[in-house]
Amino acid sequence: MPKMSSFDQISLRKKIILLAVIPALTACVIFATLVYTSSRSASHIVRENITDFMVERTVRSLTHGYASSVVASDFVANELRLNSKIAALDSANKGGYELVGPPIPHALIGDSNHIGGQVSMPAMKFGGETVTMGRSERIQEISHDIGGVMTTLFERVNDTGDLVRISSSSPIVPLGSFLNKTNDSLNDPAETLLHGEEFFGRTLVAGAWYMGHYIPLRDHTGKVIGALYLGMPIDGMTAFRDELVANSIGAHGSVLLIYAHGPERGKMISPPPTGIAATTESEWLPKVMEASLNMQDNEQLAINVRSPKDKADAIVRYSYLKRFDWIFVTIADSRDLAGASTAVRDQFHDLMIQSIIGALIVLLVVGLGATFLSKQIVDPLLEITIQLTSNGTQVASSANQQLSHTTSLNVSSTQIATAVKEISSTSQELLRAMEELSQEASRASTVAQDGTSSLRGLGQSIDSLSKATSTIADSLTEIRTQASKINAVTLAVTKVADQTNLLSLNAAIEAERAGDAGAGFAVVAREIRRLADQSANSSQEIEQTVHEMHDAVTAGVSEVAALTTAVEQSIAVSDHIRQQFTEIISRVEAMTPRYEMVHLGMQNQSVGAQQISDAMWQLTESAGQTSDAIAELNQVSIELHKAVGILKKRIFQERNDRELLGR
Amino acid sequence: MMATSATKSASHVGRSLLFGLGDAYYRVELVHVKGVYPWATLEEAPDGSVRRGVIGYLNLRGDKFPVVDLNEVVHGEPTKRLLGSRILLLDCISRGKTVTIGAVAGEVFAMARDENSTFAERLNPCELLSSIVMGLAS
Repeated sequence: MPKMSSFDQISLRKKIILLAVIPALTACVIFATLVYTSSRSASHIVRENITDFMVERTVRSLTHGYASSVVASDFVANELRLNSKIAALDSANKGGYELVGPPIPHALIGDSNHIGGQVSMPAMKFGGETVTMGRSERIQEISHDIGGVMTTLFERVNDTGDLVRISSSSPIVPLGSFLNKTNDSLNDPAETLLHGEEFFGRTLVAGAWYMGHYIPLRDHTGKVIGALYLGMPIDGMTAFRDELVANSIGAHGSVLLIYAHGPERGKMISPPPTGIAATTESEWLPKVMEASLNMQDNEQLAINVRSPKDKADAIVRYSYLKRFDWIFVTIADSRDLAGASTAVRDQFHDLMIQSIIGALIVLLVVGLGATFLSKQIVDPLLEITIQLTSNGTQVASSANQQLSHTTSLNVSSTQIATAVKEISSTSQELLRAMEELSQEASRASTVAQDGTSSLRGLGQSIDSLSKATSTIADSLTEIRTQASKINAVTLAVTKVADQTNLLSLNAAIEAERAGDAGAGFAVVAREIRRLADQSANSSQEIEQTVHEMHDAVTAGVSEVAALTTAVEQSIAVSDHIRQQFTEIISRVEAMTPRYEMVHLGMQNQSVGAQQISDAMWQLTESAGQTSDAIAELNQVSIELHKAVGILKKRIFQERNDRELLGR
Repeated sequence: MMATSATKSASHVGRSLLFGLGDAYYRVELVHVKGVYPWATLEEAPDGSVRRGVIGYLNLRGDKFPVVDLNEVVHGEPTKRLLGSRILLLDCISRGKTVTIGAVAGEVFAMARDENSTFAERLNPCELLSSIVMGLAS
């Protein structure tokens, strides 16, 4: 028997279930792995994209803020320039600008560049009005005409170009104060005005920042004798400021405006920060303020600050708006990034849970389907196997019975052959006796005195002949009986072969229904059917041989009957001889032909006995062939039993299967 | 409505069972055949009824199936009962119901592919016995 692998040792039912479940399980594991990998990849991609998006948002916010500041400042500048031009032209039309009258002493307010004290300045004729240090109707008119914009009149007090405020529409403006000088000569309004040029820019007036426009005022000689200032307070541009800080980034982000320079450096212009911008303010604000000292207009910088409290990062980007001297800060919260990423991961997590549940359902369905299918395949095989086992046992039992009967037939045939041999021998003896009788008869005439004893010998010989013929008749009867038994056995073999053929047909049909799984079994069924056909053919041969033997025995019985008749005739003749002994002697020569007739009959009997002997040898040979055929049938039965055993072993590997087999 | 045969499966395509009726050979596609059984003694109907064409009921482990004589249907005379005579158990569908019916055949030889059994005439027993099957299905 070939060595079975571990897979072969698994029952057919388990193999079917495994072959269905393993691919389904593998597909489920691969699918779940793909979903898990995709979720991590998608989460990472989403996080990166959102990070890029928010950085882009901060950049765009800063850029937008800068652009808005440029637009706003240009708009204000244009407004101021227009109004300044109108005011200057209006003043020129009304008489221009002149310094008139004697110098009048005025007290001055010093600053970082100037010492206070007194100075004598002539009055300035401006727009038809002579203005000294104090209120000017003309300045009030101009301010009123241009919508209440702060309007201040400066007068030049010396050749170095220092300008002093002598009148203003705003009561907060300290008259007698100098126009501030800066260390930046290119951006110094006083320096610019001294050269007869207009100046536009941010100016600090009475501690507040203004967008201001200075126009030099010249007398008729072209000398700059003063300046007209129009200014709009930057803090009053709330709509613009609110617009800048309105677009915060994400749910936790903030947009802030901070004074970059001046006395309020570091102070928040916008509402105070909230969220992560507030919790990390002590971290990022000093760094931003330090960097702002050297920042150029619209220069953008970035820092990241970790907030242990929020367990998040503050992504800080900021730029410098030079026109307003503000630091524009946008702060994004990394939790806003993580939120989307977590949402994506949660979605994939839900998908994976659903996939696993779906996979488990698929596995359950496949497992149940495979179990049902295996039951549909294995149960018919189980029934067939049990039937084959039962029939194989019956075949083996029948073969053993046949073997036993054949052995008995062999013994009987041997006995018959011995008896026939005795008949033949007796016939030979009888023939010799008849020859002796003939001789005695021929000598009877000469040895009449010995006739009595010769007749006694003759009587004894006839008795022996009678017994021998009786024995032959009994033996032949026994042969006929055994032949009938052989017929019965061959009929049984034929029925078994027929039943086996029927079973093999059904096994082949079931194997065909089982498809590929029954291919091997179909071969076994075909072999069983072939062997059943061989058994049927062998049985037919045995039956034919027994018929021939029966005919030969019937012929032998006829011959023996003839012999018996002859013997009886011989006895009658002997009695007649004994009764008419005297007459026999005298008529002995006349009896010679009768002796010859007896001699001829004995020769025929001898031939008949030889024929019986030949028939018995044929019977013995046939019995031997029958024995061989039955031995072959027995071997086939053993092979069938082995094949069924292998099939059972492959089908039933489990205890419950053994219980089924027992049932 | 005609009785229809069971649906063919892929493994049965082109395979038939050979059997004899009288002196002629026939073949029936394996898809119709549920099993082959000896011509055992037939019993009466479970409800004692008598149906046209049914010669008795085959008892298989308690399940009784009606049996008809194919030779009588095809040749008009009953099958001679021999040692090799068989009953083919067939699955036929009529009016949406599967009717299992036995058919007495002569000697059943073997299974063979259609291309190797052209000497035998192809027989569709379900169509041949449609009227009887319809009666049983009703």
